[in-house]
Amino acid sequence: MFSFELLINAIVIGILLGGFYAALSIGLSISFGLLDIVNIAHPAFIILGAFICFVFNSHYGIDPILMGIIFSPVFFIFGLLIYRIYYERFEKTGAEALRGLAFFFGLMFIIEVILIMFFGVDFQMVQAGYTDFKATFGVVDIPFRMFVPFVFAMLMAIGLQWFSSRTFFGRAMQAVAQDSLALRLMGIDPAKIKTIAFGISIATCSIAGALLVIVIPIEPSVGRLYIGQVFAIVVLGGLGSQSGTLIAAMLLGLVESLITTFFGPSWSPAVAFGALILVLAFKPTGILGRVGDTRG
Amino acid sequence: MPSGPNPAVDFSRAWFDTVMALDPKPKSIAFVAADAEFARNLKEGAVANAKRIGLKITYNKNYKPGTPDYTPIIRAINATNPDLIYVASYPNGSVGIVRAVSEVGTKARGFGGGMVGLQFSGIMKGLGPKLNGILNYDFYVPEPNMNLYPGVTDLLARYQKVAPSRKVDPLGYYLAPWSYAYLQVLGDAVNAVGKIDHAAIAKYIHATEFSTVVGKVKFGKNGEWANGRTLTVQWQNIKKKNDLQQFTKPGIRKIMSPAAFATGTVKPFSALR
Repeated sequence: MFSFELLINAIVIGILLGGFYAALSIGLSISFGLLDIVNIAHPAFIILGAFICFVFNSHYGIDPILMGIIFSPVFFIFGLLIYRIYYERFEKTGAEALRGLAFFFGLMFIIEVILIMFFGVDFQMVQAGYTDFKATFGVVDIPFRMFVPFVFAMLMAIGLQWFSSRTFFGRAMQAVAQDSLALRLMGIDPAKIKTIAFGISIATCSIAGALLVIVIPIEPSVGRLYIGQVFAIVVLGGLGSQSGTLIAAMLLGLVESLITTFFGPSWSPAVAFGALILVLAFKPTGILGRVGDTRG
Repeated sequence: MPSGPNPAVDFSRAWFDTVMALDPKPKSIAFVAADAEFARNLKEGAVANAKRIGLKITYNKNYKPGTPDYTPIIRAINATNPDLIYVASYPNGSVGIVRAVSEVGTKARGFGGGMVGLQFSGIMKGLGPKLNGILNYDFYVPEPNMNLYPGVTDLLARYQKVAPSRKVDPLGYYLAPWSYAYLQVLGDAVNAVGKIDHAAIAKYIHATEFSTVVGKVKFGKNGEWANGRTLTVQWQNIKKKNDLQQFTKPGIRKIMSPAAFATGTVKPFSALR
């Protein structure tokens, strides 16, 4: 059943899907990739962001992406507070490995339960003017409910890449991952840099939540579906590399879409994760991971 | 669930009875299901029904729960040109598949089947007219013939009054009457036995026909419902998006099967889009 129409549409949807995956993973590439914090609650923060967008959209008709951007500073502050607790209680005492993981597990359940208390367990959706439209170019369809999240995911990824490579704080974030002792010797407090970096990673959840609720309906525990995927993308891209995360997300999206179209959807996770294993076998640091980084 | 004595097969029996009333008679069918227990069982039962009727199967695949976009699946199905598409999905997948079929379109004349979630208020409200033409299972819909169930209207009126404050589905058609009926069955059995004796209660439930808000309930030897009562409904006449109240009125989810409850006749999927 191969046809050019199927192929070209599979590629286009794969790229758009990749953008969606990038939006979900980009914050984790900072917290897990750069800071070594196994924030298992990352998808739960995204769902929290999605519900905030849902509330403002359903009550006041405000665009979810606009709400995601407006709330990102609030999420940033939330991230600062969470990291301070994590740092004081676990990282400072060297107990972050298991207890820290348990802390984020706990946080995930607390967020889910709070959301259940406020919104129940029903699925919720948002309405935005663009979600029902699609652009058609010959045989190619571009659904706006995927295209708009793709555009904002790209902007977020490019913005973060610029921030981490061109600004003092961004470079300091990279330095924390490479050699925090050297950073300390230069008079910079690594904990302060990590606090800000973690705040940024949580701030991305607000925007990612807005993009998620445009693509799928949400309920408090729906984030769990994406835990494996977002961690796999960050590892595949190379820990700490935002560009790598973007490339890995695109690859995963493309593989999923092509396999789904031509071989059946049940094969897509196996092939996608098979590709992850293959890449890591030949390049253990991931696609754009640093040579010598053995964390992957 | 009121599926019948052989739940996997009986669950979709009414759906197949309905689509085979389309003129001309469908000859082929595509299947797609979430890769999870309920959906897979449902699909296997539907495949058995399709084989019994003699439909040619053009596509039969599963997808992983959490798939964000379903347009590649719908395109792949369309490439096999089926007359019918049977979907066994969970809420997230149901929404994604409905959106995908709205964007990509299909020439299939019957679409739906076992799509969980389309009955939820939040999803009905969000999808609105995109639901038109879908032929799906249901348990209770606000159609006049459903008033055959004694006390259900009063129950739903009481439920809908408190539902918003309890953060549960505001309409409650899908599950509230059945949940209430389950407890009626259990309550009647405990009262009749007179003590909490599991074996005695089970024996009583097996042997008794109960009167509930969903009518008479009798269980078969294997513990399933002696007679299936899953509805097949077709979404018709949905005009507005983001309007929950339209779903409280009759004529929106017309009952196609079982015949005792029918309030409409099946129309081709594309005729209602």
